[in-house]
Amino acid sequence: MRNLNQSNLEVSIGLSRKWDAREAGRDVAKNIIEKLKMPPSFILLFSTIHYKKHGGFKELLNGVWDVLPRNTPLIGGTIASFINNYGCFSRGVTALAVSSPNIDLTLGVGKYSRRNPKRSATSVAEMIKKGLKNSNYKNKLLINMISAGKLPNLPFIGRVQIIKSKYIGWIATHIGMKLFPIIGYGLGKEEEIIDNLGENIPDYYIIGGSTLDSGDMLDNFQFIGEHVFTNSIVALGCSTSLPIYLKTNINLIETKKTLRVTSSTKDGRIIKSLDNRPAKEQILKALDINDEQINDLGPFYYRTSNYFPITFEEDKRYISGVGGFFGDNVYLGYKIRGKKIKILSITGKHIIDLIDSTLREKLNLPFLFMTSSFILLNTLGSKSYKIKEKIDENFKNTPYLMVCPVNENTSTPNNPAVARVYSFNVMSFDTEDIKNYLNRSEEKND
Amino acid sequence: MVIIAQDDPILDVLNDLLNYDEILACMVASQTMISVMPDQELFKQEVMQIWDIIKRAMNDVFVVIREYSQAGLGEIEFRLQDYEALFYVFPDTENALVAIIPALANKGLIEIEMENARRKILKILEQKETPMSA
Repeated sequence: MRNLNQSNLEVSIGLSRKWDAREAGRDVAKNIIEKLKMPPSFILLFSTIHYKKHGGFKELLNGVWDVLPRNTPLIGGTIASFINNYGCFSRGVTALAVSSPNIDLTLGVGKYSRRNPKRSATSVAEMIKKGLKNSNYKNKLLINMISAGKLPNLPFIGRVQIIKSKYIGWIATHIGMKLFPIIGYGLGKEEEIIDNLGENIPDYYIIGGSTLDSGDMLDNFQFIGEHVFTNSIVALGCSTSLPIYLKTNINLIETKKTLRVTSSTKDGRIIKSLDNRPAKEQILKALDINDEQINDLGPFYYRTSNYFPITFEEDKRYISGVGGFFGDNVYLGYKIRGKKIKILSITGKHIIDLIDSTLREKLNLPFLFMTSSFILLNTLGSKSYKIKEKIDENFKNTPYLMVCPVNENTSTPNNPAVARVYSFNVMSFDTEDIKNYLNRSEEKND
Repeated sequence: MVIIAQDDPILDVLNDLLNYDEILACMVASQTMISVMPDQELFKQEVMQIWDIIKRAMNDVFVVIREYSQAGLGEIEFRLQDYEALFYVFPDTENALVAIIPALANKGLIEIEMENARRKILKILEQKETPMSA
């Protein structure tokens, strides 16, 4: 726990590794509350998908509310893995609690985000603006969790991530992509949601990510207050006198491999051809993968595709992995952002260097809330502890939590909103600025 | 040879690993013996069908572990049919934490918890070695 004396800011991190959902909820809540002198102003709660089979997420939240005051603003959701002061985990529940008298808070929710991402995002933005309209603090922060894409598990076809048949692929491309969101499946459309949030609340610092399971993309849940949602956006809006620190970085190498999009669907979500050849054939050729290897879906991702994300020459802020194949067509995590695809590369060393250099940019932060794609930890595996070692080099005694959603999003008043993968993002309150603020306040009082 | 002590804290760590859907079987073993193994009834049935061949392959891997653990061999794995065997070697010993997982499992996330289990077991072993210092 860190108490930044003068500003009365307290932050604590909780962890439970219990398997039973209710017990884990109580455990993590006790864990955070015992380190705080003041009641928490808000709580971010994240768990892995395992509690679905061990009591359910409603019970997890019931456990939390057995211990904490019920009116404490809380959001969160399911993530694949996390790193905190206690270790690296791909199973368990963790929480970050902040106490400060200098924060006004409100919650926002947008339902059916896969079917209607813009309407959901607008709903969230309106609720947040309304909830904070009477706040006099000038610094605005929005923390969000968005329901990620959910793969339909269709009879006779199975998990619809790779469809080999050209005919079924055609059906999935032209009918399935419209049908899946109606029945609660399909892509998360996070980039539309974040673009919309950025437009609606441009003066906010935004940080968040997409909820998921253990990478199977079959299920995910969002938490808000006492409620558990699916297919929704949940958000916590903060208005505070504390200066907000938000840093986002990437560290990818551009390869010489480029491809030109020559045909795509109208909504820009599926690429049909690259350099006038079937898109799947061209992507596999660029990644040096043969058709036989693609049979092994898991190894395809964690041994090949994960190391070669793609971006667009026209807008290099957007980074995506290959989402899957529908027949000869390729779908990405996002809408295409240009015609010129560039294939990037990343290694474990790049990941560690990215985290190290980002953290070194500001060493005296009172706490760290970090987001990064679960792909990064999935890539490092047992070597994920290297990330923890890097964080501990400078922040061992600082409360920190790094959560790993599917993809992560950020926005600042000076940098437009972006949802992407392979970035590393750090949010905190700026200690130096807090001290300056407090000094100015004291001078005023004198 | 198999040594099973029901009150062994290492057994708790292994039983915990077996709660994961994708960990089909696990144990702490060396070339000459399996030192701690959960009740085989807790192993997923699918892995039992090829248990004998996996065990034979494991014995061969332990020859490599014995040869190179002093040189810093930390992890080793092999793929057999639809399964993967992961070996997390305890530093400077011939022992390893072994887990059998499906070949198509999301391995990176499993590895994180395997590493946690290895660290826990190491701590237990250290405490066992210095009972008076507690």
